[in-house]
Amino acid sequence: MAAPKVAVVGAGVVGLSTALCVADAFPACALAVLAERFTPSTTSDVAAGMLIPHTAPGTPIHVQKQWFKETFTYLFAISNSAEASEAGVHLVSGWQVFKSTPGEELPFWSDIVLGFRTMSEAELQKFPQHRYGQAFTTLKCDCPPYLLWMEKRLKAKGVQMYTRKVENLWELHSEYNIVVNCAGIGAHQLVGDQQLFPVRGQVLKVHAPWVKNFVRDGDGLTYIYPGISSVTLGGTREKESWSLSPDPSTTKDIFGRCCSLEPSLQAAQEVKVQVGLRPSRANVRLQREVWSQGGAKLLVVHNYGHGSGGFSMHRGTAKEAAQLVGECIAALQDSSSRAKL
Amino acid sequence: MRVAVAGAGVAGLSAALCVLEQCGPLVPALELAVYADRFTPRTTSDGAAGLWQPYVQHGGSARETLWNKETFEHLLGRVGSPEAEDMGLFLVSGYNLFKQPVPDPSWKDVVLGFRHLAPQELELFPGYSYGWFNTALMLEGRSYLPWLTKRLMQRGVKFFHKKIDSFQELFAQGADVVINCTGVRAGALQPDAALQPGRGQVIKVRAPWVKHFIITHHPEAGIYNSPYIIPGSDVTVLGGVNQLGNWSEENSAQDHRAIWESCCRLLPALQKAPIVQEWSGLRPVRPSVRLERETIGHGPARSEVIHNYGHGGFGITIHWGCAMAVARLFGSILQERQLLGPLRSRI
Repeated sequence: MAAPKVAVVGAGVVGLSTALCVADAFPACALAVLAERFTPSTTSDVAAGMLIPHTAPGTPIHVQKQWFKETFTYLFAISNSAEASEAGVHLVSGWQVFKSTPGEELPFWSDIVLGFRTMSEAELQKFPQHRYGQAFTTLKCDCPPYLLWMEKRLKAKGVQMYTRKVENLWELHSEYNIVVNCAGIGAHQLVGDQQLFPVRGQVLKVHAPWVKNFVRDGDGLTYIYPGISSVTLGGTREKESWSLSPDPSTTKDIFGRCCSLEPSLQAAQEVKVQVGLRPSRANVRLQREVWSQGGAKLLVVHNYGHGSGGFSMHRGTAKEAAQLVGECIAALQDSSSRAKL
Repeated sequence: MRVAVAGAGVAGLSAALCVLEQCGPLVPALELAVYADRFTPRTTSDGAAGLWQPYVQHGGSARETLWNKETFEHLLGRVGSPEAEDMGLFLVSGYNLFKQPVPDPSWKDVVLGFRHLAPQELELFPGYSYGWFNTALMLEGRSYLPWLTKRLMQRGVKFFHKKIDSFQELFAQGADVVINCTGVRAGALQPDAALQPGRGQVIKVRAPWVKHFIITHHPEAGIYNSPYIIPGSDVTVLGGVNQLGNWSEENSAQDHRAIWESCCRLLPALQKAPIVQEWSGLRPVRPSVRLERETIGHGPARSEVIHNYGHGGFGITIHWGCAMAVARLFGSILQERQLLGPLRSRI
């Protein structure tokens, strides 16, 4: 049978990494990435790209740990290579501080990040409103560089990229055999998933190159993440808010909260405000389906709903999605050979 | 009471400020002037990356260890202040790498979060089997020296761009006390066989993805004679060489190659980093810091010199402790000349 034609819908961190995994695992496929938005206009571009996982309620911890570990290991190798600066992947150390001691003292990812330990009294003195803290070293994927780097690698493998708004996955059935749905928050409309909801995040990107360490409040609302060309200050977690417009009073609030964690930020320049809608779900939808209508068929693999964990889990879920694509390819070959009998 | 400070690097300017702050309120007629042939951004202190870190071997004397600690604590108290950015002061974390286990340094409890490296972290640095991680401070000379200068000017300190050839020259102009912070060239004012240059060369690159300092230690090579990478607020500084007795301030192509190749081996992504500047400077190396009073002449014509030089590659690391020690020595001069009542305990 002819080489399977595979389309990945979505060009954020999940779409591009999934496309890369499919391209690497199945080089014989004719692969294309279709997206309404490419970097710098994706949700991933708003995120800081810090590898600090959230615990998703609907996925077993050991699975989340496996996805995080795969992602961390993959990025760790990039950060240690000559491509690190082009890929935008770098190590960063810092502190997660809590106003009251958290229930679980050791998060599931504590043995995957580097050097995880409780903060000393001397370190906590820098955070007078906080009583407990964790110090560790983790990775950060800066966007646009990371997305651009993935796009470059995809193009080198002959993967085509098209700016195209897909209204309905079925519209692709005549051009493609397999569609991988990495539409993120777009899946709400694209496949009508009512379990998917936005968690709105507003962030500031500021010029403060003397900030070399990250600081994150354990409540997840206030954070300072130093990147290559800017420091990301956050943030908000507004469930069910679909607004993509920056809110000026939220900007002031974020800035104030971050300055109380890191007073030197008062001197920060060139504040850019961005908004992203985290594609949230009780668990990531990673499954395959067969769509048929009349005599026509479309094999669909879903890989969306990563919420706050897009960067933390992307490589692990991309590999699993690629495995599902492999099952689709096998099914195609199966039905193709059966058709010949 | 007229005080002449010779030298406008971190030692001279901080000593001047400390003397003013500690003794100024007590001696209304205190006049300070700074004399130097080089000012920021052309001093040795400007070339240094500005990382607070004493030498790792237990070589320093007890008082030097204390001065380092005092400097760190002074700076740590200011890192959360609104002035920190103007001062060029910020926290930075990073790695010290060794080829075999070494004893912990004297300053392990001074820095924040000192710990040994885990095997996973050592994977980042092939060739090194042991190491430390800690959070320390950066104090960038090209911000800190102007900040000190501004503070001194606000208090009426005068600055003279002048090469001083002798202490006598300053006494003849009316100075009662000279504070000698002339660094590597102190021997020109008074021969000092213990003082010699420790030539360093650095390559400054644009590598804003580097967020940690990385300092290697090769036992045979000596301090600062093996690669180091230090991320500043604007550029990342690659070093290191430490050539004792070499007075050349010209950049050497051979040193450039050695630094570039060894740093790129440590962090392969540096190969893509654009080079912004190259600089050579002379560390004022001495077996110990010379910080002491010297009385020159006798009777009513006698003059005082307070020496404060020979800070090697740890000038920024030790500067404030030394500045306070200078102020204490100055206070005892004032007391002897009965310009002051009993020494206040805060000096």
